[in-house]
Amino acid sequence: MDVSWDDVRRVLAAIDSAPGEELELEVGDLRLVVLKRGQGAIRPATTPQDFELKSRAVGIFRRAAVQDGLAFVVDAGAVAQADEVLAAIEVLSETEPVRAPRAVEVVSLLVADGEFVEYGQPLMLLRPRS
Amino acid sequence: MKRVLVANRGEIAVRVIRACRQLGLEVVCAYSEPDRDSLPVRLADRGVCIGPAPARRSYLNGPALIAAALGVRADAVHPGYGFLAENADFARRCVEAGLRFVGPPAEAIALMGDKLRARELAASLGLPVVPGSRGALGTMADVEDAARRFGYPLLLKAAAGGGGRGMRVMRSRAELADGFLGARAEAEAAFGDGTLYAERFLERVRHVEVQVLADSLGQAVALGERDCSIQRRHQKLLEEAPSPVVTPDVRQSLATAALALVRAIGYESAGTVEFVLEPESGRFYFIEMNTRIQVEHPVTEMVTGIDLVAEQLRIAAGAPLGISQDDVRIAGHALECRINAEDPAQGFRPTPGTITDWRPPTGEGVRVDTHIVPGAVVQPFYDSLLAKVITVGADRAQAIERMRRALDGLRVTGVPTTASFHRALLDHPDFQEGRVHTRWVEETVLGR
Repeated sequence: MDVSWDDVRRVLAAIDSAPGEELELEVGDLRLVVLKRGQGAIRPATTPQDFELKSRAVGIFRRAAVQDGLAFVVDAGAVAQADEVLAAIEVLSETEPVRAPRAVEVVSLLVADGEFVEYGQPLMLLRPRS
Repeated sequence: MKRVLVANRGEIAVRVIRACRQLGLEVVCAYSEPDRDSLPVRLADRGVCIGPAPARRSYLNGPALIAAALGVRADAVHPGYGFLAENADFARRCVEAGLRFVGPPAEAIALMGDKLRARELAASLGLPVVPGSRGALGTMADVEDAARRFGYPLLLKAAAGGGGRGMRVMRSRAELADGFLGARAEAEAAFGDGTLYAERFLERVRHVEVQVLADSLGQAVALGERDCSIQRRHQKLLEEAPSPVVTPDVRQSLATAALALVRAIGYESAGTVEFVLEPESGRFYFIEMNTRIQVEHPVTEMVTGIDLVAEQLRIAAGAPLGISQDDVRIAGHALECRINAEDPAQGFRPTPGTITDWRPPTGEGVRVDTHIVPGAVVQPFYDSLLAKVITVGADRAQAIERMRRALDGLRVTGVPTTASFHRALLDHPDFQEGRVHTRWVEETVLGR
């Protein structure tokens, strides 16, 4: 079936306004089961120094990146020196590295691998390391 | 075709969104950081930030725009006018990425974008062209040779040109060297290509352009002419349709010439074939073809009843033209005033700032195409066009009278605009009697 953004908006509004923690929705041949969890349960503790690393490109976010010929997948807890590669953004056939602006620890990733990201969109939460 | 990415900003982005809505298409608006809160972004189903303020990193960033279109699963890109609208490489890359480019094929853009090649092709098809050089002018000796053959005043033009950049009028041999070096440097800076050619400079001519529409099945129609003779430094200020000096015979000849070119290059979409016209003799000469929707397209829409942007979208979707040449009727007269955030008292200096109050005119026969709302910020990074005030009447006198009332009713505070300049133009007897030419504003109104 075709789903427009208006449809998605309606679905999200229905989920938001539904009472209870569990919701089952059937639209035509689409069956959607939503389990609502309390916010914060899986969110890591943050500190006031934490900051968002924002996208400098438009394209597909890739957790897998290459630095010095080594492929790796960045995850929460990873540490990096200034200018080290943390991830990548595919812009058509080119790949633009996402670099650490200073020595950091990755607190959490804010977008999933393969997700489309806009310019300026927060990609990950970083914590400065001395 | 279901979802269109608008790769532009300002009033033309609003205009494209309106046409998409009318056709039931979803629309995503690409925007730069300072345009986040702009009207087109709010009107679209979704906005996508494509870069920071400088146009070369946002609205001129082809890969970012194509990646944005693919990322939001759009299947077409409308480039508007300016920015990448006449960039053949961008059009080609859209198609290679599986997107429909709402405009002509890349080859037609490239061919008409080379003004020298376009001129040679037009001449080979029998279109009248201004006497001028056959090839590029490489050296001062070539320029001197052109001056001997075509006489003074001589006009130098950039092959990659447009918008008056890389253009110089030289009235004597003494001006040749400065003109040549100046034009070449300007063309190099503006287009990255300093190739120049020469034409005899025709004085006291009018700028007349034919609107065309062509579909992917080879059908093409001409939708009459617009007269854009009210210019300042090659920038159009006020346009009208039909031209007050074009006779039915000349109109027919202009249409025939425009369609010959359109057919020869396999053109698709909306386009404009531009001519200069000597009003006394009715002789006209091809100057160039613009392969995009133009700023002044609404005056043609108002006298033909045809929605040109909707037609562009339908053609891009592969639909045949809904009209034949016999269906085209020019009814009434339309005017358009480009209201810019510029100060006429200070040499038309751009005046960016915040629009504190904005009340566009309304009334019988009045249309306003704009992206301005109260509180809108006129950015210093982009062009200064605030709105196009368009009026239509049963005849030219009524269209002028309606424009007078429309401009009197326009309220804009926060930045100086060109509205007062337009209002004064309307009262000038030369304009009312249709006695203007492309240098009239500078010579008569501004007294230079």
